[in-house]
Amino acid sequence: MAIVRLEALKQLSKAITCAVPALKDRICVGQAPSSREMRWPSLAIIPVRWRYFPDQALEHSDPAPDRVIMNVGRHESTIQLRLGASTLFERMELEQEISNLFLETPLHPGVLLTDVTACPLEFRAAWELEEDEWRNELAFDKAYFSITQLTGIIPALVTRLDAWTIDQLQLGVALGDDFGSATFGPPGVEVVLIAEDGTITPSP
Amino acid sequence: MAQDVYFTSNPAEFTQVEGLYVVEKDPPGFIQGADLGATGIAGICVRGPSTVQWISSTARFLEVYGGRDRGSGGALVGEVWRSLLNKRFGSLYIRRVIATDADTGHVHVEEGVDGAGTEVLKVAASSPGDWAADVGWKVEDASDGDANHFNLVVRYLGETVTYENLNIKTASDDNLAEVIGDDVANWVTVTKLADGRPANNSTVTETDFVAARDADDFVQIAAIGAAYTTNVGDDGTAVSADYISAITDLAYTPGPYCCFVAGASVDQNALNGTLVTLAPLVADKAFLTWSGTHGQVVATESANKGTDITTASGRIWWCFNSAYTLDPETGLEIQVPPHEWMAGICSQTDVDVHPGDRANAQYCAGIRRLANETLTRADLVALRAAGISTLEKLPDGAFLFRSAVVTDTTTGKTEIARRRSADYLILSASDRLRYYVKSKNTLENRAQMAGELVAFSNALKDASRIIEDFAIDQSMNTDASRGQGIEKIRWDVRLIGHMLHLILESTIGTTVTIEES
Repeated sequence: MAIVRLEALKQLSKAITCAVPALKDRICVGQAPSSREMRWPSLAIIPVRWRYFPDQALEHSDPAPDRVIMNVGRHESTIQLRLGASTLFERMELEQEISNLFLETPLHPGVLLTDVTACPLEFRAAWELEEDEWRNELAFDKAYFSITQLTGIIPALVTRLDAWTIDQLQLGVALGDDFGSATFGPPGVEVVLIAEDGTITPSP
Repeated sequence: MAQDVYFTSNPAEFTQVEGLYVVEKDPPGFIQGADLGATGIAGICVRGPSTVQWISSTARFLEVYGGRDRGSGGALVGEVWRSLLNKRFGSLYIRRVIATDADTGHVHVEEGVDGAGTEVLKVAASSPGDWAADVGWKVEDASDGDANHFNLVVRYLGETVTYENLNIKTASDDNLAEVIGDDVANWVTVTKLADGRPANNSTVTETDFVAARDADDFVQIAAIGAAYTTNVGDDGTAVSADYISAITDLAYTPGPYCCFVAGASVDQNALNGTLVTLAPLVADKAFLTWSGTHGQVVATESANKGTDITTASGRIWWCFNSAYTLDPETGLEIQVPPHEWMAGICSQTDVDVHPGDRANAQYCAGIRRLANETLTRADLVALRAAGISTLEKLPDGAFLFRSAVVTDTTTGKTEIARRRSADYLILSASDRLRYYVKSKNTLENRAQMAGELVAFSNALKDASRIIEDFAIDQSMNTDASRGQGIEKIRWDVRLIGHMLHLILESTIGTTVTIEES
């Protein structure tokens, strides 16, 4: 479910915009297209590597009667923040404001938590500042950009279709040697309906 | 002030506010064996409620339902008591059969002493029946010395219970429920009728009351004459419908497995007809019954069974050959029906144990003799073929069910052990699988259900209990049926069989050649 990762990155973008108003409408998620006009200041959020760590599948939510969202582990992403500004001083100010956004998080400084509610799911993504250093990226002999790195942790959510609610659970017990028969019902198979409270009744 | 730690399993809550969220997840589930040892008995008792009660000990049974009779010997009243006699049982679910026209004895106790005062208190027997006449009561000074309070002393069969410091003096006073409680074993129920303080029995001057009062100031319920509001308890006359409603209540009560009517109904044919109706409607019970007539010949018994059980069922077990056992209170032999012994055996043995297993003779040790001890092989063959389980006297003097069969004589379905094993498996599995009802029909949940059945089956198989081999199949489900919310699981089980017919083939002679292997 790529939308999960994309929405998480968008939410990171929003969080930075809120904390650094100067970057409003100047943040690009992913590499900007070549046709895009360069404007200052600007910030690119660039995922450079995704890794998936599987875990036991657990139900996350059921957004519709016929489907269920399963949490099947987590994605960990290495993300670069590429900041550009017209002057070195302005860039340093923005670097500090962005770093502060991560460091100001109560209880766990350095980790930014963003709640994603825009897509059909609700989940929380974590963004861990890996280094406090912004490295200059040189363009010819001018340093226009500086880069720092994050680790993003996003739940791996997938949709199971045709996952209807079990309203009627029927257990058929066949005693004998007739293994593998496809029939389901009397006389060979004794069928009971199992109710939520554990009571059972013979299936009609 | 908000908590620092928030316990929730709702992921949506996590993002509401910063904090520590503790999510407690259910550990992986497993199927555990069901208990089929509980027995349901409907029948006449000396006293007790008409709702089904769970009884876990003999002492509890006696305090709720009474014993053999009203305490003074004489005619046996407690048919359920008799059904328990000289047998072993596990826990019981008792449904007292009470006649529709039975009545509850009570008396209205007055504030004044002359029989013309305000009725302030109603003392009633806790259940309908003649036994109310054996309950004595008296009002006396309260233990706490408060003149507005009183003690109520209740006497029954020589024992007394004192409810201390009762208070119904003013509109805001009523501690009756708090002090007396509502345990079904209580002898009386006590209700406030009006504000006041009932007169001490010792101070009452009304003539009939004084005449009824004994040396200890007790008077029996309903024994104090026309000056008081009273009602005489009455057993009434139980009719067929009373037995039918009792066994029907048991049929729909979760818990008991073997269910039967103690002794016989006043109309055993109608009762057996009801069992025929109930059997296909329940999936967790077996109904034990008999002809209702002691000492019948085989042909009559078979004919009765054929007439009553119009639709044979694996859940109806018909037993034959009444037994004599000792009444410990009179020292006399009494005749008791056979199906009660079968229920006792089933309550004490594992589901895959054949009720006729030789080791089960211990559960019939209370039998002194049988009504018919001269059954022939032909009789036993005929009874088995008719779907009748027969108590038999063995050559060594022990008593045992030779055949333990259900009334359904379909080949392969005749054994009681098979029925019990099937029900054990179904009840065990359903008690766990119910947690999947209303859950999402995901691949994970389906695999988990199957996995739990496999683990349970393997545990039994490895222990050489019940299951010899098994298979789980969910392939009959389709997208369409799952879209309708239906999930089916087929559980194929090959049971471990019993050695019902042990054949020892021998060739003895001087010309026999012995091959050494």
